[in-house]
Amino acid sequence: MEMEPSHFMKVEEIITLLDLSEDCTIAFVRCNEPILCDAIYKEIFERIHSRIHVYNIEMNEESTNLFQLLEEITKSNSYNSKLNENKKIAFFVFGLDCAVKKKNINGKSEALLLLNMMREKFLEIKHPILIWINSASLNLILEDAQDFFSWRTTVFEFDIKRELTSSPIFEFEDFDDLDKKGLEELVDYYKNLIIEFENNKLKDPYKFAYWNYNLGMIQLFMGYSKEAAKYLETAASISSMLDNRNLKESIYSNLGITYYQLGDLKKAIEYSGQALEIAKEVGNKKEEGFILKNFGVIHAQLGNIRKAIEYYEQALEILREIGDRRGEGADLGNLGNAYSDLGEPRKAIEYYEQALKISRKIGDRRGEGNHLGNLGNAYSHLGEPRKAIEYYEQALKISREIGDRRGEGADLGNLGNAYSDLGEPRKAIEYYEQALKISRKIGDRRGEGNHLGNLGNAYSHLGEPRKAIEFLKKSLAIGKAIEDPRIISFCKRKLEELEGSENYKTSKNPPASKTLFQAIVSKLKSKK
Amino acid sequence: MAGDLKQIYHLFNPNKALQNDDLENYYVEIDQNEINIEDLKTRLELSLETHEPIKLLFTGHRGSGKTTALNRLVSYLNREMGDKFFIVHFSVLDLLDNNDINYTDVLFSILIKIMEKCQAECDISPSLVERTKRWGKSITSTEVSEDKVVAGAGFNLSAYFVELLARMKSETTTRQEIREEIQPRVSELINLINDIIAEIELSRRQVLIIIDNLEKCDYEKALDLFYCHSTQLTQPICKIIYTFPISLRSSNKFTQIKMNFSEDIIYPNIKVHEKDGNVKETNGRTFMKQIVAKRVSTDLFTSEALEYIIDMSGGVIREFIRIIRDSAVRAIARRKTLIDKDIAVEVINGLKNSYQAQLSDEDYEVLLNIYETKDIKRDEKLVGLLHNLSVLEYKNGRSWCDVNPIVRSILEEKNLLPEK
Repeated sequence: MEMEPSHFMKVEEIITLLDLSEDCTIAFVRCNEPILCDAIYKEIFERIHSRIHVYNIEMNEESTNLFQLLEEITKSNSYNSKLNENKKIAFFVFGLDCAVKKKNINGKSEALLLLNMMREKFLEIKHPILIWINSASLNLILEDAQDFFSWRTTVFEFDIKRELTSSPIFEFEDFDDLDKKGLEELVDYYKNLIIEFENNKLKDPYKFAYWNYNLGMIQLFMGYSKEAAKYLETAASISSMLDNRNLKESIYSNLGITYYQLGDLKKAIEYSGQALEIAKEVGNKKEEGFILKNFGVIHAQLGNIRKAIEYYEQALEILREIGDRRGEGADLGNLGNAYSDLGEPRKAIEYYEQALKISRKIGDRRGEGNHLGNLGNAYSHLGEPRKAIEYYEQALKISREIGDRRGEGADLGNLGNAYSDLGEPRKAIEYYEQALKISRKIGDRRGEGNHLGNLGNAYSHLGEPRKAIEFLKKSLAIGKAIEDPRIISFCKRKLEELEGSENYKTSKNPPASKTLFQAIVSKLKSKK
Repeated sequence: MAGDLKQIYHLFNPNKALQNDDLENYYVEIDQNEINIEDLKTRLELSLETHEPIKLLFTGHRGSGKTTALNRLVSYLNREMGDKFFIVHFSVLDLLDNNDINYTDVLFSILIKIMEKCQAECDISPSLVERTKRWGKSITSTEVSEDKVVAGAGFNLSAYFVELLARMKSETTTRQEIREEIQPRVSELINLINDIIAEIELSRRQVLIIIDNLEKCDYEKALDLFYCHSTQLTQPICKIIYTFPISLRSSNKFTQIKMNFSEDIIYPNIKVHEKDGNVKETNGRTFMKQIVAKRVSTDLFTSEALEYIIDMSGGVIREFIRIIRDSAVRAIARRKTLIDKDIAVEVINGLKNSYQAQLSDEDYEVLLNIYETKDIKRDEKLVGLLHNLSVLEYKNGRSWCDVNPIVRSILEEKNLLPEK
């Protein structure tokens, strides 16, 4: 599966820790999704196994004494020869989630009691110990193994963005007021103009370039990135013979966005670069700031969060210079997103609050709605879904007030996600269905794909895998049609979990994870 | 004879540019200016072949005769090439308050003017009318009374907007409100303008928009228009001529401004003396005498007075006309029958006060520098002085400038001029 930028950052931190550790270092990896654990393990293993030898330790209900397991290894030949070679060693511990189930007569978990009691002995193990657990186990440890826990260096927390969020990096002013019918009429209108001009033998390349650009923008707005690219490329090629610099800049800048949507980040950077050149040439500061912002989004997607922040800050300087307060607010929102990706939701919240303040000050209702939504997302990441819901509801109110259908759809989707997090899939489904209806009405394919995928996810949590699969398949079809890699990978992963079929397997699983995988499958079966 | 002096008063009006019949009767063709206008015509004709939506800046000092020249151009184009051009010619002063012009105002007035002309001359598709109507409704909660806009066949779109614009012109609150509503919807506005242009051009006539009096706003507003928002101003896909303040050409921002426009055309002041200060009988002076001669008998002036007035006008036509009118008034009041040098001197002295009031201490330094070098360069300090006519720009071959003769005499009086 595809790991997200924030995941890569944390993996970096884990590896740094493993490299630095020369003594007993205790750390936890808290991850609730086996598939994500797989991916993380694989990533770490690939990057360190040449210099650090990893011992995988498997605990379970019969094998609850971690120290004993560790001690056994330290007495083995292989261990001692490795020591002689001066090779670094690390212990990865799996299966604690199972092991904690074994309770003693007092109802306390044996494994945890042992951890706590034998705490001192762990100091004899002069290597890093990375313990892989889920949230439930973490909570138990906090209750029953405080002393052991207090010796840890870090808990690395990994979550999959269970929701698919559309992150618009650009605002469409032109077509907001139109619904699907209006947009389709506009498409016909421009196509007709092209035909009529051709029929009248009026060779006006300036207008042809402009109409192709508009057609491309409408497609982009509706979520048809592939068609958008075609029209925009046509516009670009017509413009190459003309001296219409401003239109060229718009074409390139939007080609950058289109290719970002299509996942072709190399082209996205190329075209955005060309646009930036022109913007600087003609001194169009607003566009300059806008494109720098987009560079930030692209780099964030590539996982270069720090580089993204650099770009966002450059953009911020310009936007402040020209007094573009709306742009400033949007950029602060992006910085919030970046820090969120870095796993610093509190810092993200700071930025979102700044952005919110500005949008309220300038009466930018749409911006206000966006930032409220972002705050909701941040609290979601902090694991406070109730607070998130408060924010999402505020955002929804605004979207409805200003008639921002896209925003309304996104907010409804987010509410669905929050209720999903709260463990209320029925309520989540209600919201997802509303969101889906809207996205279909306004012709937002990407939104449609997102909401179908989330419905699938919710039904699987509800324990209705057949319905889940139905929705996920619909979502996947759209994802393939619009070539959206995020939707595609999300659906494939979920379908793989549900169907466990060979069709969707994405990679070789290292031995340790097979048990986790099987555990999940058996859980599902038992639910029926 | 006094009656003839009264005639001067009526025929020399500094506020009105020549139009229609007056244009026919009184216009004097001045070579240098004609050349520039010919260039402009050629540029326009060439752009017809390529369909290029050229954007031209038309610059000249206040009072140099720009409006008159544009009026003539439009007459010519309508007469000779009426089947090739669809001309929309208007002055922002008709529609807006010139102390407070904003780029959205300009774009909005373009929409309205095109629609007005369209209503009369061609068909706009119903879907476009519908979209325009929807946009119009989205920018204002101000209800425009239906009876003003429903005429005969139904909703009269352009009347609706004209009513809106009238409100904007007179009511500052309405103007602000509407501006704030338009701002986030500017892209849609530009799309509408472009779509109307496209529909018009289907008839094989190409749209040419001429916007007069844009140069009248103050420096700050002009910068906001042309420096900060030239992208938006140049987005309509048709040929546009924008009048442009000559003072901004000396700003260091001009290089950047110019990047958005295909060309900038200068309508220069008449050269009444050479760069080196020699007052020869230049063509310029002849023309200025002709301007008088076409309207009244030159016997109404002593030749000394006329030469003096020509000198002190600096070749700026409106100033010339104003000085003459003012002189006529004084002559009548003194029961004189013609304008002699004494009267002319009195009028000029009166003008000195208003010029002096515009100058600050720093300006004197700049003025002296120009007096000596006659050099026109990109200098922010020059911008204000060009704007208030303390410094005048000329062109023969290359551009040069000089201190306004009236301002020069102020410097003389203050003993600021170097010994010659």
